[in-house]
Amino acid sequence: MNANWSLSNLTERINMSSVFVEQLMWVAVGLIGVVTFISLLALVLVYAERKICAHIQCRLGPMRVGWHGILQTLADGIKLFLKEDIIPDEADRLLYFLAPFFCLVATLLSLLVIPLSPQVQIIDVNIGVIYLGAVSGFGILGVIMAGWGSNNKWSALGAMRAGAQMVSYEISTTLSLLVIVLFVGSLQLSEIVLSQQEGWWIWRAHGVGVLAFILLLISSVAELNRTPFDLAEGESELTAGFHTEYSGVRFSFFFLAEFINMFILAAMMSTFFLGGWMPFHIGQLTAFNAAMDLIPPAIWFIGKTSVMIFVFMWIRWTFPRLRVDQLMKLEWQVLMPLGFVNLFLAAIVVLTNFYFFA
Amino acid sequence: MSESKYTIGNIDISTVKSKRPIRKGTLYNLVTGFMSLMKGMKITAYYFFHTKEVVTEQYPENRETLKISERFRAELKLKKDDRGFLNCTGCNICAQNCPNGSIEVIAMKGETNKKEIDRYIWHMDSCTFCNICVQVCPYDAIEMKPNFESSALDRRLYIYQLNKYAGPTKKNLDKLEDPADMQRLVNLIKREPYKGPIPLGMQQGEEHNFNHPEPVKKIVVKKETAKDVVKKDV
Amino acid sequence: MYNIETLFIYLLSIVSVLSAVLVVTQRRIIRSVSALMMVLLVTAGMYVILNAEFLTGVQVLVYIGGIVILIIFAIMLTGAGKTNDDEVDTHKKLLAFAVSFLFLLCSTYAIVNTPIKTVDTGANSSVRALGLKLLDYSGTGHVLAFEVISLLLLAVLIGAIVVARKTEEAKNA
Repeated sequence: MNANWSLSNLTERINMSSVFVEQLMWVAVGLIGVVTFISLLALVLVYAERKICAHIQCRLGPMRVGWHGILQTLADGIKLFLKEDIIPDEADRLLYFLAPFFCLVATLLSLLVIPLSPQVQIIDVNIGVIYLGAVSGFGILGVIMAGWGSNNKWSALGAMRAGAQMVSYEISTTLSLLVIVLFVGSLQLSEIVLSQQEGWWIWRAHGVGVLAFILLLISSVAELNRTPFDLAEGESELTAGFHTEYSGVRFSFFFLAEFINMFILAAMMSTFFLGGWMPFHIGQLTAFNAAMDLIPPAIWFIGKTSVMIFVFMWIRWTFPRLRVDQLMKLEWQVLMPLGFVNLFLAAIVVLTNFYFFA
Repeated sequence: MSESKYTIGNIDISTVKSKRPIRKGTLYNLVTGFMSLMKGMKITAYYFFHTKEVVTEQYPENRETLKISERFRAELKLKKDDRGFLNCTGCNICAQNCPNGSIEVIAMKGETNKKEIDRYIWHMDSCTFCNICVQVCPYDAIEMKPNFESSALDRRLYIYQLNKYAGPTKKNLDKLEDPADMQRLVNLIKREPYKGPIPLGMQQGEEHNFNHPEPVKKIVVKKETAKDVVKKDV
Repeated sequence: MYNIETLFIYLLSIVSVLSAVLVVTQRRIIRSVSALMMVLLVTAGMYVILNAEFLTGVQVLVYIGGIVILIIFAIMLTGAGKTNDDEVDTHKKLLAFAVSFLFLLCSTYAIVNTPIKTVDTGANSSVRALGLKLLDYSGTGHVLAFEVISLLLLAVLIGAIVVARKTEEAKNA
């Protein structure tokens, strides 16, 4: 082996530390892991959605493809890949091509910072909360570009509505996340999970935490463009809204982005309020805590996120759709003032140490 | 001019009071709204966790135990009595009332000088199964049965002839005095095997005939008029 | 000599300049806005290299997640998104080119001849330190500026509502 071409020699030549290259390689491995994770997750989530939807509606859902329909999503994916790629005649090419990538890249970037377990967190930025808010802005841009680039009146209308809705509800989301940041004192996601060692914030910060949790639940459902807030893409409203003109693989990107976004928001809810990968501890009761520690943290995380995803789907198939003016009214006249009041009260609670195990 | 709000000119209509909805406070609305949302979610959770409430059937797998309600409309059948004679007199009321003309009744003048059906044709490919023909039939001659397994691979196989024999209806047959006469008529006018599309409920072993059916000619019974008599003479 | 930071700085600068050129030369205004978004994104990248991660997050959140979306809404709602087909006169183009070239010379001269001190003050750029500094009411703190900015934001909010609400005559008309 020629000594000139070893990795450390190479890195010395261009004055890159090998530690940095090692980190870069870990990030590359992490990215590949994320892509695999996304594919598997989409398979599971779409199947779960169809089954849960069916059982709530007194029917059985997919039952034929594989045992009880397990391979249904795979078949759907293959069908989507084999569809013809139709581009509308006068569509703005650049926007039409870029929009699905924006949505998907936003979800990928969000997935990089979620702490799945003490060892598995791909990048731990120390501005975690702001990073999450910033990256969801890319998703919004993707939606608006999709609607405009399709050269379709109703797509543009749906995109405007969806964009306005997502921008509005991001405020409520950030306000409820800020409550937890107040309690924790740091923006870093791993810090937030570690601070829940004595108890999860949803019950540790009592009234304020519960109210913030409910606010986050409602705004997450609205942020995801799911029923009851899916006027922009409801099947009976504006045909399919901003992704009407997309077919085949491009549509599968939007579809994927929506489901992975659901996972990310459920993961966010469980990270901030339900403890992330932290087992259920109560203060300093060491015996109880040790018993809870027996279950590996990854299982805790998956369990909590699954419960939140089930709640999302449960909400979707229970409630009717809100009109777009009711939607906006809800945000600007109810949720945002409530969010501000909640933040103010949370500041008082933090300053007076009025929460459990302060 | 008037102090009270409820007047038209000088006429006092203050006894007319409309019921206005009482507006409750925000907190009341919030709490009751939230409770109603929770109630809705409880109902869907009940349906989620109780699989026995499922109302759909896994069709080809449960074929043995499948029970279809008797009212289900899937197949038109001519009614026979216990001796095997049809009720249909060929009055054509069902064909006239069919919304899209899926019934063709071809009648002829029979041995008893009354109208009889020659062929009763039902176009299942255009039938909407609306049951109007059954409801308007004055002789209670047709009914809809729940036999729904009638899929075929060619549209032309969906034109059925519903009668295997044609002849006097049982009402007319009953009017005959001589039972031997009755038997003779029934035996005489048994139809030849139908060579068109496959009838529904075909016996096993009978051969398929995929030839395109010839258009069934309408047998028109013409009365002799004075003109014909004159023509004949000349 | 060349480390990864320099590489990234060069890369980001090239992308930034190219996108900025695209912003002003594109015919279709939506492409212009996309290029603007690229410029802002690249600026955020520069902030990362300068170890100011908080500013990166805020840059993306406020500029891209707020201002670019606002510009896109304004374009779409006013129908200015149609292509602009008029060709500019040649002498106007020459004049514009001359003025911008002059500006380029002046600014290059100014930047090259100004001694820019790059000194590591050892300041803590974490969010906690930033927050403490913003609310510090001693002589080196910035609490007055913080409060004035919050008042300004309040005035902006109220002004926006006042400008955008429907007046009584407009409602009745």
